[in-house]
Amino acid sequence: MGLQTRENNSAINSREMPSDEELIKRFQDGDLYAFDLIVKRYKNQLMNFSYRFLGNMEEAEDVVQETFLRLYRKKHAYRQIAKFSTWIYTIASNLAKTELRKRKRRKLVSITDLGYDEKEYEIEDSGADTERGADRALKERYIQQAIEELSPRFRQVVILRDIQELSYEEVGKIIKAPLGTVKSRLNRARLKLQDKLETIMDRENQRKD
Amino acid sequence: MNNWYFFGKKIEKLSDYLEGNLDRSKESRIEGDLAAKANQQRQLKQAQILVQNLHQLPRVQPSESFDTVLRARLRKEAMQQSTWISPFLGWENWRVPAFAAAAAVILAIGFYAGTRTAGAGGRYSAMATKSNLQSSPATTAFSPQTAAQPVNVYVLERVFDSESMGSRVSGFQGTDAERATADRPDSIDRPLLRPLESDLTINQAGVSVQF
Repeated sequence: MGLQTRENNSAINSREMPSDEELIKRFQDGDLYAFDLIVKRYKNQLMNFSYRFLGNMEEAEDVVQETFLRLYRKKHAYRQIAKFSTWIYTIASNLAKTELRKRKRRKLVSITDLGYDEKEYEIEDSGADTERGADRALKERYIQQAIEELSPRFRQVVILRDIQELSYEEVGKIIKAPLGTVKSRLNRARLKLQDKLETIMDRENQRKD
Repeated sequence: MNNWYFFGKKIEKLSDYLEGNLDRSKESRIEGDLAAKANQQRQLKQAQILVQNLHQLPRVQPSESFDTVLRARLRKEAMQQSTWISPFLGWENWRVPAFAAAAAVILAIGFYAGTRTAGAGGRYSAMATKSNLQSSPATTAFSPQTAAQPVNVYVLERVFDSESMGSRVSGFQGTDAERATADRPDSIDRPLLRPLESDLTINQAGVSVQF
């Protein structure tokens, strides 16, 4: 009886929470509601990924919009052999890299570009009215700036693994590299970040000691 | 075992170092070793703090207008699809005028040939469209046909579905005999013509495309 109830519950749960792969299958079969659910499920994480990659809210939002438009247009390009999350992150990653290249071209054209220091970072309010909050906001800003100073390939791997918390396997599939490459690239990216953020890390280290 | 031995040796040397029993070169080697170790430890700790900080970065969310903007962009895209042939033929937009021109040429040739055959006592092949099936049995002559060979009739229509924000292709495919029956207004509900979903082939008898 108990087992039956558990089975029933799991059946209900699987009905309520279809997997990504089930949703994309449904969408491929013409169910537009499944597309809505995919958007709902992924818009926040893709936004976070794009923002951390680009450091600009508008550009990041545009990348996420374009990712979903691509998904809408090319839904049949997805094959069940890959994990859906890997597939959609690959689309978003490629679009974010393209956006970065476009920005570089724009920078070449525009000499009046303001650079990182003058950018506004619209991150969620973490209590900036208190001293601690302001301190944290400043630290976040430095970290974001340090991430943006990394080359795109280092930036991508550190965001996917340390911020989005994807598995090494998933990161490997997204960046199309073997596990060993993922790990060594991640290590190098972390070391570069540590170099850039030495003062902050040291201060925290001392605080912990 | 080796490690312990190694460790023991180090400790022994460390004692000598502390007591000042080592020559200068050995002293500086130990100092270098200790500095490297301390640096490694510091780096390891820093790495841990870094990863922790990255995990704790606030999650950025899209603006409130995100869904509205996405919906509008999808709607716009669907509307573009409803006016262009590319979505179901997989062509690029710039090829549409070329397609239209080619279709016009085919139709003109068909019409010319049809007129000649009609003059010789033949009968016209008519292209049925969804709209004329529903409203009137009016048909247009495009190409000749022989009674023995069934000629496929394709009727395509690109319909914009405002509810789903998508566009779909509706149409029918059938033989000339089926078409003849379908031409009658009272036959509209009969499943004589097979629904045509995706396999859109332009046949030699003629094409009728509605947008």
